[in-house]
This record gives sequence, structure tokens and C-alpha cells, in this order.
Amino acid sequence: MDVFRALADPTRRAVFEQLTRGEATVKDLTKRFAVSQPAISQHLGALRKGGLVAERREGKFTYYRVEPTGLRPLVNWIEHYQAFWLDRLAKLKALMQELEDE
Amino acid sequence: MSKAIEVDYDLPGPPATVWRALTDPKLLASWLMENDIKAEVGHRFMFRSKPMGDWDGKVDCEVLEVVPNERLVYSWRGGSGRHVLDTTVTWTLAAKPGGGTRLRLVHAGFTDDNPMAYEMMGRGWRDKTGALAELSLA
Repeated sequence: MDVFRALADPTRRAVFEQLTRGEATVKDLTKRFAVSQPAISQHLGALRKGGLVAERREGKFTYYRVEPTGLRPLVNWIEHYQAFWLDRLAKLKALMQELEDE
Repeated sequence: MSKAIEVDYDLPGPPATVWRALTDPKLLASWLMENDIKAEVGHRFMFRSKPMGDWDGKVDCEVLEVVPNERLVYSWRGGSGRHVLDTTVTWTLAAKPGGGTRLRLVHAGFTDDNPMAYEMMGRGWRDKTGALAELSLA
């Protein structure tokens, strides 16, 4: 589950937005959205796998909160590819040297 | 707003050899990624790599322009969702006077304003991903 798929579902996105306002339990979220508790748990699971949400246990409750760095991948493509291309062009250069030596 | 990565890179060997390294699937795979490229306009192909972090390791491409030994353009869609990264890669080859090839790469179409990212991000988010308290969502 990546960030984009994790946020593709409207309810899941709404749950995530709600969590940006503060920590909440599954129960809090179920009250807020017209969705069953298992459905909320499932959405939270997906958000957690996508790195967007973290959980903390306290007593018998689990509190969910947003993971601050979770949305990073949405905006860092250009940095990612800058590094990627420089790395790959160096490999291409090595290949060209090999082909020249043949 | 759209941004591009532009790189000029000097390589040994003539443009024809660089062209092979760009368009022969086996050679291309040895420095870039596994692929099924063909230098034919309209050909759809895919780069495949190991998933890395948030990236599923796949890139969907379509050849848009072919000028043998001079210019190759293909779309580059992928990353973690085809609607999020919809870019083009342009390779331009030019022989250098003293031998060798100047290869120019333009990877264009990076955008800040993909609707989902915008929807989810308040102002200032980009610079301070840690500062969630400052995030305001309308």
C-alpha cells in the first residue's frame, strides 16, 4: 500500500484529514463518520501501511495520529529523479567506455 | 506549475553508440532498468525495477518522438500512481567536435499542483513537513 493508493478512497481521506486535527481512537472516528467500526479499522490499517498514520496504545485504547513525513513522497519526485538520473547517467558513461573499448 | 530536470552529460563514443544504449532493450537495461523499449513512435513499453520506498518499481511509457541518433522522447508515467507522476523524458544527442557525444536529458512535467497533494497540504507544508500543527485544512 503506497501513499497514493492509501488516499485514493474518499472515506479514508476524510479519516486522514480528521486525524490531522488531532489524535483519535477508532471509536471517536466511528462516531464522526457514518461508517462501521470494522470499516474504520480497515481504513486506519490502510493508512498505516501507507506510512500516513501511526498508532499508540494506552490502556485498552489505541490512539491514531498522522505521521508527519507521510505525505513527503507526494512532493519529492523531482528530488528523487534528480538523484536517480545522475546515478544512472554515471552508469551509462561506464557502459559507453566499455563499448568503446570493445 | 510544472518543473523539469535538465542534465547535460558528456559521453565517450559517437551518437550512434549512445543511441544504441538508449534504444536497445538489453543495453538500456544495463544502465537504466529492465524494459521492452522499441524506437517506434506509438510503442508502449514499461520499465521495471525493484520497488523502492514509496515507488512500486514500474514506469509506463509511450514513445512520442524518434529521430535516430538525435532525439528520443517518451512519456514517463508511474511512480506510485499514474495520475501523480505524468512526465516526459527527452533525450537529445549531439556529436562533440573532438569526439564523443553530448547527451541532454530533459525530464519534464513535474507538477506541484496535483489535486490530491494540494487538497491534503496546507501552505507551508512543503517546507516543513514536520510541522503538522500548522497545517490547516479547509
